[in-house]
Amino acid sequence: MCLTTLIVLMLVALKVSSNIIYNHNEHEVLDTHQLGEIFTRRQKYWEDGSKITVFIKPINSVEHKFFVFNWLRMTHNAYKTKLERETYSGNSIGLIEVKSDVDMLIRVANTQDSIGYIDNKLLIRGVKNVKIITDPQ
Amino acid sequence: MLRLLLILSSLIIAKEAIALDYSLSGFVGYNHVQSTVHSNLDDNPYDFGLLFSSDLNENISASVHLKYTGGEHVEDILAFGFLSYHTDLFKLPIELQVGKFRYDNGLHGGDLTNPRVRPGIIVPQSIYWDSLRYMRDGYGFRMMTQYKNFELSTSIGKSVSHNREQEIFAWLNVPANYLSFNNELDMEGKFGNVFNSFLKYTDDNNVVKLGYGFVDFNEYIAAEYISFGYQFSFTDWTIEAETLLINPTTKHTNTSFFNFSSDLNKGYSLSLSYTVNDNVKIYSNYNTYERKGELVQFDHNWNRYNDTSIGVMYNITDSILFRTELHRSEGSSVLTDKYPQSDNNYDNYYMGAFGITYFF
Repeated sequence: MCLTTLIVLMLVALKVSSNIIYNHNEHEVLDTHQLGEIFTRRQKYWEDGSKITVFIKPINSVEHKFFVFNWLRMTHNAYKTKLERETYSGNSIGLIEVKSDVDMLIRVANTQDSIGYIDNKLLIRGVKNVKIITDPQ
Repeated sequence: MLRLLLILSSLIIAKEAIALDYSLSGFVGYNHVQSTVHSNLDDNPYDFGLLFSSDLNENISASVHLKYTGGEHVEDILAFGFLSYHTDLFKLPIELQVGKFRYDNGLHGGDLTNPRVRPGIIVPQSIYWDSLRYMRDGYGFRMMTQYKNFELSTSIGKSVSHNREQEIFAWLNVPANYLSFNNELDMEGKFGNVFNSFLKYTDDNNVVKLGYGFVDFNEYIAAEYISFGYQFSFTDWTIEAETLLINPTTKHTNTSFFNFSSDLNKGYSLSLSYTVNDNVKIYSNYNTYERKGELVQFDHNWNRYNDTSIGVMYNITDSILFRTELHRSEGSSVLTDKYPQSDNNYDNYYMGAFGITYFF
């Protein structure tokens, strides 16, 4: 059994809930509305004008649905409609899907001005460049 | 232990990681339209879309949307495709783009290719008139910026002709004689200048969008337009009001821009929708269009159009969408691509439609 599979099993075993992680120079206070704007690509830039790169789990995965419901306070179909309205109009590029929490952490840590989410059971304090938001505002 | 697990896993995944971060999605679908006045409406029954976008580096991204809707205009398969350069000016984000665009006119000008966000299977023709596609597709340059709730977009370029060879030339920038169809090409006057801009305000409940643009269809015919759209959402209800004013002109009539007279083509649309639950939405629309001006002098029905419709959208699963609509219409001014004008009665007719789409 490879380690990736092991981690997936661990995530299923634990009740999945997420923390927001982001890589941006300035400290951000993000409420539910603003996160909704970012994760549907309606807000494409941080306040300092830098471009936001957004990472998500596969869009139809249980983890992503859970994230949308908990953090964005939206139903999954409403979320997809908003997202596709932005991306299919050509006004925004799409979101980048990653397979696992580890992948998410690596991508966010290595991508300036990015944002994603990760299982809240994972201890990631001290990872360079990555800031954490633990509670929906 | 967990930290060790993360590090070991990262080594595995790093090997598998694709060098390029990208997003890929799409859909395939089938639509059928039946009318009491004409039987050959479903000339574009098949829907196919593929959207790819990627950050090439910190400042440059690429986006490509391919579509296929059947019919004869296979050259339209590229809905849009462009390179985008991002920078900021005094903390104001700026996107500079080059490529082929879908000019985003009206509240739903950018939504027309994706069945999930289209305002209908048969969209309000008074605002999203098929023959206005020259205002919606083109290639050139675009600049976009966003400040708080406001978004501003300005584009300038060339409209796209419904001619495969010209489309290839336009997109690939390959000389006609290089592709060996020089003899079939008559490039002169086929491409028109397009200018398009909009200002959009969005908050939790409101969307306000004001647009202005012009297009030179060829060296003789041009048009300018003003569009205004307002959307208000409250709980599960959404109401939308839109208007489109078009000023067609020719070099001979020499009507200058901003010299709007009473001879405008005027389109109005009013929509109401109710989201029953996460999977079901009911929507209705009334839209009307009146053609004026001296460019066209035809009979009563060809200078007007109005349509009242009701429809249902049902998400059968996360990936399968079903829609159905019923329309009652009068006139045919915006249906010229599909309706022959000579042998039918357009005083009062019905259209029914259904569509099913699979998203991946």
